[in-house]
Amino acid sequence: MSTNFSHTARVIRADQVTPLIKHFSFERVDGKPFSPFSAGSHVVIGMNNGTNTHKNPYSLVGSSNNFMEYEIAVRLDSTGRGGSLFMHNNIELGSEIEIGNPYNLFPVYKPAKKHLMIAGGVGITPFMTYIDEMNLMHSNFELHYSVRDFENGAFAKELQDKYPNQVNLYIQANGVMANFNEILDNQPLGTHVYVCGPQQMVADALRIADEMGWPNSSVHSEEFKAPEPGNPFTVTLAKSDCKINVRSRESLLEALENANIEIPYSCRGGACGFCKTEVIDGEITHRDYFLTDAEKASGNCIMPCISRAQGDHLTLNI
Amino acid sequence: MTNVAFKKPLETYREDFTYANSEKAIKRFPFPYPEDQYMYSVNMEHHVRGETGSIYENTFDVDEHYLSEMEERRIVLEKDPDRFVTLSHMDLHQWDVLELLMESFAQDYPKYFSLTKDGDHWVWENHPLGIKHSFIFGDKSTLPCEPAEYITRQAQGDFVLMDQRDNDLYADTAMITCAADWSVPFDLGMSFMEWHGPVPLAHGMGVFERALKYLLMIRLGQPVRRLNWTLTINSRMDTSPEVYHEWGHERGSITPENVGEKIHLRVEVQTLFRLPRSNGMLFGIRTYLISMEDLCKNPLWAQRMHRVVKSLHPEIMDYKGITRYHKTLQDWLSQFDH
Amino acid sequence: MTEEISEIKSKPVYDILQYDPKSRSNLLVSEGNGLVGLVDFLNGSESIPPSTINVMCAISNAEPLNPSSYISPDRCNKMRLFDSVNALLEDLPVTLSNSQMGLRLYICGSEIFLWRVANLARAAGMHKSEYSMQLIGSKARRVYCPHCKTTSEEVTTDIHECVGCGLSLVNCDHFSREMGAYLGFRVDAEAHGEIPERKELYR
Ligand code: FES
Repeated sequence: MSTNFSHTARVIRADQVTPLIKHFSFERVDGKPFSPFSAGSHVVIGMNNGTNTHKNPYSLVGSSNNFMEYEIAVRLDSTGRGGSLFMHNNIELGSEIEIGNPYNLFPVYKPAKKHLMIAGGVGITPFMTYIDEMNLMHSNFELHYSVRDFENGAFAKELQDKYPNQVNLYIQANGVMANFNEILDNQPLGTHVYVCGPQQMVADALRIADEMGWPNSSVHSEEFKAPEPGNPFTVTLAKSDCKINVRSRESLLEALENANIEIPYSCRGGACGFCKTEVIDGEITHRDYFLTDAEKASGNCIMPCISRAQGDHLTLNI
Repeated sequence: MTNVAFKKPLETYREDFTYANSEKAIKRFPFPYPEDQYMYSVNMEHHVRGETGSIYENTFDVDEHYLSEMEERRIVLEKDPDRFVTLSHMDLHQWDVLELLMESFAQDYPKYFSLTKDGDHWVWENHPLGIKHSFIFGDKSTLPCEPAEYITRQAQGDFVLMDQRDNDLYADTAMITCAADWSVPFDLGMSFMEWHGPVPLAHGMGVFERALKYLLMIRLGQPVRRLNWTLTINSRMDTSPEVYHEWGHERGSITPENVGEKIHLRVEVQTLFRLPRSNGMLFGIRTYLISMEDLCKNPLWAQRMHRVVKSLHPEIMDYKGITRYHKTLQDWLSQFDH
Repeated sequence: MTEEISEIKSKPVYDILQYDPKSRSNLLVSEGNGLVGLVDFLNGSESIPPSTINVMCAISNAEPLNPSSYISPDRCNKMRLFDSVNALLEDLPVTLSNSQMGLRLYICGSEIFLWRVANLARAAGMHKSEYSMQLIGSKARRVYCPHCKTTSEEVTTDIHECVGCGLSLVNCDHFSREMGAYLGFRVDAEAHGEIPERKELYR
């Protein structure tokens, strides 16, 4: 049974909301509504560029109450492996893509007394649905959103207009920087903090929260990363008795998919655990957040969406 | 399309115990033992649709006992309103469950249930129970009670709504009127391990650790199910600790003459669904009861039942409350196993 | 159900108080002899800056222990004494509502006291990783009766008469943190009148 559900969807709006961020809305081509989803969910978008399929995860940003449409915001990453470039240059009104079922690796902590959100740049995306939910549930919340300049602050104006008392905007071009020490200081008991943004910002916020005595249970960050290029290697599939080459710019998961081998996935970034695959032989460079240290040390499983062979080969038990 | 011949007059699950299974119900009974010996395992499978007429034909099984079971639920709640309990952070989960049940019922049993949506304005019709109600989805004041209570008063089986956080599942809302000996509200708010605390042996076997890991990763649209079982004296649905002082003595009422009629195999079809809006989980516990007499009409079931009972681990026997009448039952079943 | 049930995973296990060096402020709370646990804790963790420590102790007049003779004023920021557990528990929510993230709570006393405090902490939004508890003193149980929904206080025996319905209840190790109580049920439900002799187990 296939575990990677998807629907074919069509672009019904595509707006350049900042010079680097494009905002897309989709509807299902069969005219049916999408599934409802929870705040903080992501979906995997599959786009075909003629020769192969890019599959990237994006946070849903649309209203969590209109399920005729799904919305995402894509930041152009010119150093990345081309997925965002393709979305920016080739996906336009009427384009068709594949869109997977939502999955949530960054859920709201429901019993929290107060929700404190810290966003940087495109890291604002999961919080668009958070704020909707918190507003609906009459929760106590506060958003601290850092952007390079106002022009680059996706949704900044909209958020400020709607929630002038809860939204704090930091425009770096004007010399205004978010001070995490101040933000995290003096927060009432029962506050949960959620951080999403550039890696360095997330790391700083987490470190400061830790120094200020926030327990891990109250600190949440959306941790998944894009696969990085690495050395090419060959993988042998023990059960199906075949060999596949993994090129340097593709992930092991992509190489398997290109050879028509279906592996369950959700985040494609080493966090959800679905793609876990047994390894029989070969050294692994682990890059995921899912496996425990003991599992990593044992060397008998890999998260192929993000991790690679250390040497020139791996043997998988599939 | 599924047709159901609802039992009339209503059957009872208490006092005179008029509950009985038709031939059809006996045939589709979920016999739970894959082997001649029973031990705990993480026996989960995808909750996919089964053959026409089977209990897995539809997402939620509505059967001939529907009206009787809903009346039984009403009676229990009237005596003890705390059989529905919820913590305050569970609103989204509750609406999720209301939507899931209404949509599944309307889709699977269009003859009996219908749901019309106009934006947030919904109209729900339940013909067997004679209900027609317009309400605003998301607005509790338009329902006569909490959303999860409202819909589970119209659905067979018990329901627990779990909140997922801290890499754990918390039982934070529950409608429990046919509990196999566990208590709501005592268990409200418990983590997965605490809630299953009293189950013997399985913890040491790592069953719950593995089960929890699996459950945390259940995806939207991909529910799973498993079977659980125990034995009950008489066709009593409400074998909760709340009324244990009233039914416990029935365990001492078993004689060789009344085994077949009084002892019931009680099977729970447990289903787990990811809830879309809340990221929580619905744990459905749908209980099926069958008397030993009816069960043993199937020679293969009768033989296996004997072997399972005979080889039952003493701790499991004790936990399931079987010890007191175990020998009488085993002797009676031996006639079917040569 | 009447046999002794062991190894129930919901039964709390207690340890000695553990200092969390990440804490920014520390609230130490005790009842009766629990003070001894706080004193040991402070002696064992000399590195805790005194300015971060606040102490709340419930002592009754009959109590031989006087906290001020064990915890010197320069060891903490503030020490407050209450002449009853109830007085302390009434004040605690106010104290917690004025507290900030970074607080750790250390609780020491009888089992019933531990869970009454823990529940106030949870109501204030604290996570279980933000408080630690040590059991010193009475192990007497609160026992919840599902039959009449009354909770009997200070139960020291395996079997007792429910204060609500009068049935003889046997308590098992299944524990609800929300209620701070163990589950009881009618001991002679299966054979009315067969009530085993009670044993004093929780003192
Ligand atoms: S797909 Fe999520 S860990 Fe690999």
